[in-house]
Amino acid sequence: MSNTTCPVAPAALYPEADARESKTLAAFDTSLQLPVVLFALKAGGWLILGLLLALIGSVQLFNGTFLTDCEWFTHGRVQAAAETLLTFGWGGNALLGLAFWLLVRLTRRALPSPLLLIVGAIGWNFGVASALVGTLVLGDQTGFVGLQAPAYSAVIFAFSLFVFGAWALAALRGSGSDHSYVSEWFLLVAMTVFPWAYASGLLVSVIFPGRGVVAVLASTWTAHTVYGLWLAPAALAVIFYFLPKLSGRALPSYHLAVLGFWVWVVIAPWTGTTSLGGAPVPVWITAVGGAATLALLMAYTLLASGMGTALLNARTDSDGILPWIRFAALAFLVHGLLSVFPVLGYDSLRFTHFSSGLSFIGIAGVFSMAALGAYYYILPRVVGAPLPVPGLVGFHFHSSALAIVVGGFALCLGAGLSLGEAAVQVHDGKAALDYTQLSSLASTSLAFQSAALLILLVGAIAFHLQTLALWTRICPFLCACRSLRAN
Amino acid sequence: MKSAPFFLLGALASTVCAWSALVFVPLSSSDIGGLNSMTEQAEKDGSPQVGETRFPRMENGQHAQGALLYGSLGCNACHTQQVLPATEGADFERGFGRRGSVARDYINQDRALLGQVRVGPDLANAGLKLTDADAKKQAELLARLHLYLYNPRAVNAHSTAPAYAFLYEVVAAGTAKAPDAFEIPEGFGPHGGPWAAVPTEKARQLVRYLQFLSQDYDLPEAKRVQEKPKAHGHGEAH
Repeated sequence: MSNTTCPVAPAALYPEADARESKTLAAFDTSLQLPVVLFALKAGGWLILGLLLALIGSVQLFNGTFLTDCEWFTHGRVQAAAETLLTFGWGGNALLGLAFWLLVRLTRRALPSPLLLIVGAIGWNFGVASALVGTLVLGDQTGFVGLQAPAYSAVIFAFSLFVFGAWALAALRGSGSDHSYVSEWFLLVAMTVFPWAYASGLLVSVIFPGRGVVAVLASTWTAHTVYGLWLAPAALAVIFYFLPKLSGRALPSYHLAVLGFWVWVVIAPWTGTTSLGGAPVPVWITAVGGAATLALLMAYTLLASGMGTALLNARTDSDGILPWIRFAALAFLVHGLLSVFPVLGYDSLRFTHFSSGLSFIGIAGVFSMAALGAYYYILPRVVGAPLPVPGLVGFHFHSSALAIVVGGFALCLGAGLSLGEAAVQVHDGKAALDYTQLSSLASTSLAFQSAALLILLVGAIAFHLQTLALWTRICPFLCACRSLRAN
Repeated sequence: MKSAPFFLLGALASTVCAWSALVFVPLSSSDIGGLNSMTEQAEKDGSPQVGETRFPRMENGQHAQGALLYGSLGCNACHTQQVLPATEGADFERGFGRRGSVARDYINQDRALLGQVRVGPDLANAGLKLTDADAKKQAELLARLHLYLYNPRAVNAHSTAPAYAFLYEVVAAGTAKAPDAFEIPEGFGPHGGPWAAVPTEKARQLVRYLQFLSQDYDLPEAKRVQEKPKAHGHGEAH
C-alpha cells in the first residue's frame, strides 16, 4: 500500500473469499470508506460524551453535591442529555453506518453517491448537537423517558430518518442478489418502519401533545419502539449476519429465524405500554402491553433457535469479533427474560431503577456490543489497513462485558428488585423506610453502576482512538497533503 | 429483494395497528382523551353550575411558569406525580395521597410529568404539605422549602437531592429586604458569612407550583379514603 495515496482494501483482509470475490468485496468496502468511517467517528465521539454525562448523572444519584452548583449540570438535565446522546448520538450514527455497510454487502451493489450520505450525516449530527445544547443549557428536554430530545431536535431526527429510509429502499431496489436475508429484513424494519413509528408517536407526544396522560401514553409507546423497532432489529441484523459468517456454521434453522422475525415485527409494537403499570391510564392499555410482552417470548425463543449452537460455540475468529456478537445475542435474550418481570406481578419494581437497568442492558449490552464488534470488523476493511492496536479489541470486549454484567445486576437487582421490595414494606400501617433511607440503601448498587459506566467510558475512548487513527489514513485533506509532499 | 413490498406492507401494518390501538384510540376516546373537569353538580346530573369549583383546578400563569421550570430542571427524573391505588404499593401509608391518581387529574396539563423513577418522594399532593392556614406556620413552611431547594443537606443531612443554589441570590445576613429571604445556616453557604439568600423569581415560581400540586379532591371514578395524608419526616415531604 502506498503511503502517498488513500488506501483501498487489500485482498489480504478477506481470507474467507477467493481472489475474484476479494476484489468485489474490496470494491464494495472502498465505496463506503468515507461515510462509514465518518459515522463511526461521530458515533464514538457522542458515545464518550454520552457516557461521561451518564457517569456524572449516576454519581449524582448517591452524591447530591456532585457538580450541583451549575444549572447546566443539574441531575435532571444531565441524565436527559446522556440518554439522547447515547440513543441518537451513538446509537443513531453507529446504526446508520452499519446499516449501509450491511446493505451493500447483502445486496452486492456499491452504494450510489456516498457523498449524499455524508450530507445526511451532517444533518443528523446537527440534530444531536442541538439536543445537547438544548437540554443542558436551555432545559428544553421533553421530560418523557426514552424520548428526551427537545422537540426541534426530534423533528430533525424524524426528517433524517425518512431520508435515510428512502436511501435504504433505493439500495434494495437495485439489489444485485435474488436472495433476501433475515438480516436485510431486520435492517429494513430499522430503516423504514421505525421512522413512521417515531414520527407518529412524536406527533402526539411532543409536537401536538395530547391532553394530560395521552401525551404520556404516546411518548411511552414511541420510546419502546426506539428499542423494539430500531436498536434491537439493527443488533439482530448484525447478529444474524456475523454469527454464521464468523463461526463457520450455517444457522441451524433459517426458517425459525424468519418466523421469529415476523413474530417480533408483529408483536413488538404492542409492548410499548407495559411500563405504565399502575399509572393513571385505563387498565386495558397496560394489560395489552403486558400480554404482548409475554407473547414476545415466542419471538425470543424462535430467534434463539434460529441462532442455535453458533451462539454457544466456543470457537473464535482471528479478529476477535465473535465474542462481541455472542455477548450481544445473549444479552438480547436476557433482556427479553427480564422484560417479563414487571408483567408477572412484581409490582414493587414500579418506580425503581429496574427500568433504567433494562434500558442499560438494551443499549449497552445488546446494541452497543453488536455495533462495536461489527465496527471492529468493518473499519479495517473499508480503510484497507489493520487496526493500529489490534490487542485493544480483546481488552475492550472483556472490560465492556464485565461492566455490562455488573451494571445490569446493580440496576436491575440491587437498585431495582431489592430496593422495590424495601419501598413497599409497611409496618403497623406506616411505611418502613422513608426515601432518604431508601436512597442510602441504593447507594452501593448505584456506585457499582457508576464503576460500570467508567469502565465503558475507558473502552469507548480506546475505540475512538483506533477510529481516529484509521481516519488519518483516509482523510481527504491529509491524503491530498501526502500526495503533494510525495510529488 | 423482490419481496420488499410485501414485507414493508406487513411490517408497517402491524406498527400502524399498534399505534392506532394504543395511542390514537385513547386520544379520541371519551374515557381518556375526551375527559372534562368535574364539579359537584356535574357529578350529580352532568350539568355544572356557574361559579362552581372545578376539579382538577386550572393553573394560573405563575403555576404554569413553575411547571415549565420543574420540567426544565428535570425534577421529574427523581420525583413522580402519580399516587398508586390503595391495593398497589405503599403510597397511602407514605401519605402520598388519599386516593389513586386517575387520567382526569392531568387534563389541564400541557405536559404531564408523571415520572418513572422515585429517587425522592411522590409530589402529586406536595401542595398539601406546603400550605397552612396559619400565616406564621405558612411562612415557616416556605422558608424551610426554600432552604431545602437552596441546599437539601441544610434540612436533611442525608439527602441526595441536588441543590438549586443558582435559583437564589446570596447576600450578607441582615441586608436582605425581601420578605421571603432566609438565613443560610453556617457551613451551607459560601465561606465567611453570615449569609442570607433571596429567592429569584424562578425560585418563587417553582415553590408556587409545588404548593399548587394537589389531587386531594373526589372524582366520580376516584373517591378519597377518609383518613388525611399523614405528616412525614424531611425525606418524605421536604
